[in-house]
Amino acid sequence: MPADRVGLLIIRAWVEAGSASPLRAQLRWTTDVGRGLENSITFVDVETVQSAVAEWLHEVLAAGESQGEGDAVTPQ
Amino acid sequence: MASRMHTERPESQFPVTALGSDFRRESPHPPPAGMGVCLLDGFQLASANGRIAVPGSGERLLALLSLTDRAMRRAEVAGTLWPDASESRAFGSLRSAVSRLGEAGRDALRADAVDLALAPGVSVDLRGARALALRLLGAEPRESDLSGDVVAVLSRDLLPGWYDDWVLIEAEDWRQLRLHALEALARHLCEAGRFGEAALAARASVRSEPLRESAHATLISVHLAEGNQWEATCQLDRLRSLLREELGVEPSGRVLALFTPAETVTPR
Repeated sequence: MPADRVGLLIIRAWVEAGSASPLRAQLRWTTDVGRGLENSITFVDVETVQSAVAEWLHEVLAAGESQGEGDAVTPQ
Repeated sequence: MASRMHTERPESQFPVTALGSDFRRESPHPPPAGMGVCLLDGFQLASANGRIAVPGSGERLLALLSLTDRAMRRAEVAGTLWPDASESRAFGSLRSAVSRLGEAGRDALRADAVDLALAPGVSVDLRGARALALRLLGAEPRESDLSGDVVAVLSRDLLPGWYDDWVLIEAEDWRQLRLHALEALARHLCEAGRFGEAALAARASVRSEPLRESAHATLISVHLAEGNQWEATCQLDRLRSLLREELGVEPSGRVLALFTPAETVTPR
């Protein structure tokens, strides 16, 4: 039985005091933890981080659905 | 081979209960000399005779026990390492992991009917590295702590490429500690007039997290302390370019405040 794919997203956030945009949110993510964290990007505003997380969740969903189609048993 | 920090642990006596083939009888002998678990820059189990190969399940078991630094109930170990399995399957996986450690691998383990722990006398590199980092952040580090060799220890990540929950938290905790410690090391070396080594430590912090402004500020401070205004200005320019390109922001006032107008040298 094939193992389910697991996505992983890590957000490392800190504050740079004295900056006009003090938030630093570094995102590292993958839709398949077996392949390691493949992507990384840093944002400075909350809304962009939220959008990126939503986009990643959609990618995880799409990857899971396409895996499910590939695992479907073909009727004989 | 990377140098390892060894910590001495007192030998302890534990009651022996042998129940089934997965339980190891308590050996009257301590583990082989120099046996240690390395967690920085990847997992490794070794003794004075060299590296001891263990399967992946054994690596995860020994890594968990090394990180927790206490005896763990078998149920807790099984639940942590196999969180998605049923209790019976998790216990079965744990028994298998213990038995597959092999004779040499099991020397690193102390097992009884209820608990598992790292065997007394087995060193863990992370413990020494953490103690070093905390001394650097304290008031009086040891003279031996103020060394360029220490930069290598503080540049290593905990179990890179491991994504278990119990690893991620510890890894992030160590990462923050070592970044602060590298900056503290740079400051101590700078105060001692050892500018070359101070710059080495500060650059290691910058490399570990290029978007961390305090790391750049530390390096700039070292250059300024040595009287190298040009180097300091170049470093500021690198930071400015990086922040503009990656984030679309300018350096914080904290970094800019390091420079007086007279210290700012315009690049040609």
